[in-house]
Amino acid sequence: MTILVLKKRFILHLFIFVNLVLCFVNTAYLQTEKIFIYAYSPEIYTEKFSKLKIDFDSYLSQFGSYEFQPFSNREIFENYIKDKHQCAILLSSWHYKKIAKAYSLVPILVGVKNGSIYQKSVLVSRKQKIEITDIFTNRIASANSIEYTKSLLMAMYNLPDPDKINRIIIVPKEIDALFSVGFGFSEIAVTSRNSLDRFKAYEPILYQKLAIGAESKNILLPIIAVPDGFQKDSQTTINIIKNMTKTQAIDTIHLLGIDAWQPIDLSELEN
Amino acid sequence: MLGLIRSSFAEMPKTIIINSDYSVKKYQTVQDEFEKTFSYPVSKIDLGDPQWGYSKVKSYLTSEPHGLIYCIGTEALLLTRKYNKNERILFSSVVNWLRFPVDENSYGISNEIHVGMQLAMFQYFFQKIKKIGIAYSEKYNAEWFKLASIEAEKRGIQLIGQTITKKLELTELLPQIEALWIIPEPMIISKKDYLFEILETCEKSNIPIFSYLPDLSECGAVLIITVDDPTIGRQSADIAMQILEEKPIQDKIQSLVGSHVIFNLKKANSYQLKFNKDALDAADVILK
Repeated sequence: MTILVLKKRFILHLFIFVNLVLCFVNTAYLQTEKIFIYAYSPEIYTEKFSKLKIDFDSYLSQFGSYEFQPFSNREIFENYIKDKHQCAILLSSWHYKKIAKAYSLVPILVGVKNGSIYQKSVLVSRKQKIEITDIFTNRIASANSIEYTKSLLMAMYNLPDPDKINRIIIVPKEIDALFSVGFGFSEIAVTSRNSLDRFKAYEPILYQKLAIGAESKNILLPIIAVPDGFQKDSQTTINIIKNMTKTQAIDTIHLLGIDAWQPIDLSELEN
Repeated sequence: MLGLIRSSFAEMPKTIIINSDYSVKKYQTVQDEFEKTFSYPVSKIDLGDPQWGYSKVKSYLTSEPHGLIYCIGTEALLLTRKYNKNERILFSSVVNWLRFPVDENSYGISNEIHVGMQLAMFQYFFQKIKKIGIAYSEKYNAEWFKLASIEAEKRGIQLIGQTITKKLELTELLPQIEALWIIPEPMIISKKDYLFEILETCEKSNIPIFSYLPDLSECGAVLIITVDDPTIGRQSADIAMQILEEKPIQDKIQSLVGSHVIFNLKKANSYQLKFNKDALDAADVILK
């Protein structure tokens, strides 16, 4: 065997070795690529985002390279997730229905509160009846985003034009909205039926002053979805999110206004 | 339609936002939220910015008619009323607004959460606490104490007052109460020694403290109910638009519709307090 042949063999082996190393590094990189949980929900008060992020990230850090990223602006959120493939997305069922097709999202989990995956929203006032003109002229306190509150009001009163509703004040919590009507600081509160029931239990005297002016249909609680292409590989991420209730991170789940997550039945989205 | 709106905007005198110091986070939050919600043109003065000397502010405030002057913080309110006594003003983030003269052209948002709402929150968290102590001075808070006692009585809560004279004395008060409520009392708040003495004495006696001062949550207070700054901005914008559109306003000085609640769970547990777990949803911050 000549030196030349040996040199050629050495170069060949070196080439194979380098390729193997590169291939391994690439695979390892793919395994450790950070998986994000992107979140936007009009039902979450934006001032809670920093706490949500800290609590979520603290929980997720036990499982490797995960990060929670909440958004306060719907447009920015939608633009940001457009090209993301390896992620989970937390959003309201209302929002999910609007963008699922365009973003190729698959629903995986739905929130549960008091044993139900649905909630109803109610309009509460000190008056027995809330007229359409009241919606246009009175102060309305809501813990949801303006856009979502308008959509609720439009559905409840069959209104075609959201621009006439321009006195919504966003408050941090549903109990603020109820107190503000109870004490007469606002004329109307938009709140969930769950919060009103709780208010009735703990504030019976103020509750007696209130009347329900309108009620929404059943609304699905928030959803966890994944991009279509990530569904097969998303099981670990989904389990991590689902198992939050089994740990101290359950308080973080409560910040989202739910008690737990459960797998979603697709037929529930058709209602 | 858009053209019509624009032309009506152009005809309307501008609203001035005068901020006591935009670099202070709470004032900044209020102004930012106001601007996000308010749909009319504004011009802005930042008293914290050295370029705004008093003479420049004076000439700006007196030069032309304004739709409204929105004052954020005490300094902004005082300066505005000094240079411009006639135009409509709206104020917010002013501690104890009752100290200042309010005329028919004044509108505002109280910087204190409504007493009834605070009591309701206390009760929501701690249903078993029925006797709450308050240290106050006759000079600043005698009237407030009377009104608060009436509100408390409606809820089956007894407020037990201890007037402060020259020296703070809590030895008689503490054995009678189940919690101490620290209110915006200048005799206490302006003297750090008093404040720390109260915190220390209550700690030794296992008496939980309720307050409105966020900083006290780190010093052992169990429940803090304070104003939510973003809501101040939004509510101010709502009032401002009602004023500019000449719509009726029921209360010229309004209570804030949104609160910020801090619950010190660690402290509540260390005192072995029984609290309503459902109420944790109402806490914006839970300290563990």
